[in-house]
Amino acid sequence: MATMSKTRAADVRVEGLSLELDEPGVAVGEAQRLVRDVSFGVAAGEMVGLAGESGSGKSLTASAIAGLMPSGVRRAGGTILIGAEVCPPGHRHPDVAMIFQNPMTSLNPSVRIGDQIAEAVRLRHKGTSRSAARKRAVEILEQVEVSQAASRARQYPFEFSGGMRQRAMIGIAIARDPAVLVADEPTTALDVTVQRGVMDLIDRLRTDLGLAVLLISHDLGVMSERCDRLLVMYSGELVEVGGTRQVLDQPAHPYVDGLLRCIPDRAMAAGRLQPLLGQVPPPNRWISGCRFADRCGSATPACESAPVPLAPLSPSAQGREVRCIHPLTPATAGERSAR
Amino acid sequence: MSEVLLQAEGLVKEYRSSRWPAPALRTRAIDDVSLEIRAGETVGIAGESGSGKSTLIGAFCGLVRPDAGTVRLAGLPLYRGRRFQRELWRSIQLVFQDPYTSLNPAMTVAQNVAEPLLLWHREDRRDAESRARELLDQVGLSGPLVERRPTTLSGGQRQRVSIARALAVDPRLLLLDESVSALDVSIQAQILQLLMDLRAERELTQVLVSHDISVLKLFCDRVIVMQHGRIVEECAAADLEPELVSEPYTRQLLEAVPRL
Repeated sequence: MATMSKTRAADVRVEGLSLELDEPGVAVGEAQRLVRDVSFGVAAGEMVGLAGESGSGKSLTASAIAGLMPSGVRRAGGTILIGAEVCPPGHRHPDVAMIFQNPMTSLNPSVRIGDQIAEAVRLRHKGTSRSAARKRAVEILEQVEVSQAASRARQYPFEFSGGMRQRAMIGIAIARDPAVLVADEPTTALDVTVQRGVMDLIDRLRTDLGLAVLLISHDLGVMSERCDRLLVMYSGELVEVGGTRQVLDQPAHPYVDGLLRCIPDRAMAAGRLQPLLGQVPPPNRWISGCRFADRCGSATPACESAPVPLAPLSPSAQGREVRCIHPLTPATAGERSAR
Repeated sequence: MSEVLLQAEGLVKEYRSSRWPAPALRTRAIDDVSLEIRAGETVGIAGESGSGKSTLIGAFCGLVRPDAGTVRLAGLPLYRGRRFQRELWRSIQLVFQDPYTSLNPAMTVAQNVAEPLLLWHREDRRDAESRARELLDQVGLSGPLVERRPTTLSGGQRQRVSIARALAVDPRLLLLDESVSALDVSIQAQILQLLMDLRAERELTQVLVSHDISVLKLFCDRVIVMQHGRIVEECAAADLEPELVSEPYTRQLLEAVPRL
């Protein structure tokens, strides 16, 4: 096993994070708000899943934590804490590493894999010699389970398969000796068998290095196997938070319930497909009330009139929060499926 | 049992990529594939990237000319010598994975759907466009949306347009090459539901290529699993369980699928 350098275990805390469009010509107010009031935490050694469909704001939230927000988006409020340290907007905290969906576009095609990892090593540990960094790069490749690491390190990205490229990307991420790993759809472009291998690797690094991992994905199947807790976003807001099994087995928010019914495995079990009707509203149609109200079976006028807070589901349910004034209970959920 | 609609026998396709001055690299994308698809059936093709799923589908519709073997549609050969029989195109339509690149961005939605009608039915433009509107209505698109250009639509809406376009010429066989893979689950469910409704209404035979086993289990009657260009398993969709399949590769594939 490669020598493991010391990592500082740290928690991530996101409090009241709001992100908005920062472009001339965009109306001020709700219309430009892309992510509203997102709060959650990831403890060291924990893997938390952030789920949502396209346009829900999950990737923006992730890139805000990594300090890689796209231009034209600004932090309108909230704080991000890495350990005890407050991260100002746009600050790339050295303890946070991020991996992306498409390893081919995030690797430099004209630089050998080993050199790309060595570069990350030298950026983090100023003063490391080139040869020491190269040696460390080979160790890191071994750590991410790339076979024949020494010769692989001299190859270019095009000589790597998709899964291998993603392993190399993870290698670059851990070369920073991070405390926090933000994984934005790390296995979406991969085949299921390769996906399992890469997820096993991320899981192993989490326990070995005590990483706090935030896994962003639209694939609830992957999350159900890997994550301790699940956060679900819809239209830029967190709509449900809780233990993975609780959320998946007894969803309280009608959106989460509807989403689960769309999943082929669940539809098979139910004997039929019940698609959610309509589509996610674009940001310029977002309202201050519940943004799911127009697609929701149990919506009342009260839902749309005022903002709905993310509130604990019940006094007894630990860490289980839902943004709904008519949350589903096991009894009403049964009624819905019978309808 | 209903008649055989599509029959493939001994299909082989080899791709050559030049690496001059080294000898060309030959890849057998499909290697001696034979299968039969019956009218009204829904068949799924599963496999990992590079297993030859898309090449096989391409050979069914003239996008990929096989090096050897025959494909017959209701008894008529699709290829005579090196030539694809274009008049059979009407009966076989393809919907691609990427709704973002498979529509003409310069035409409105209605024009996109009217195009095959102009080509095959030689209708005049006005009739074709009103027929296109009916088709779009069937796939759940109506109103001012049909006068917009495809770039202004969402992924799910574009995929609905692609399906309407494919249905315009009343095909017997609808080939779906990863047609729901790029969509969010809730949109994916809407499109799968639409395809299942159309199947019942139009007596369509559908072939769905997907890497997502759970989609195939839900959508198909029968599933074919491919590996390295060969069919390694052929079974009823309901039998796609790790305990029931015979091939070790299929079992491995099924066990890798994350469970909810």
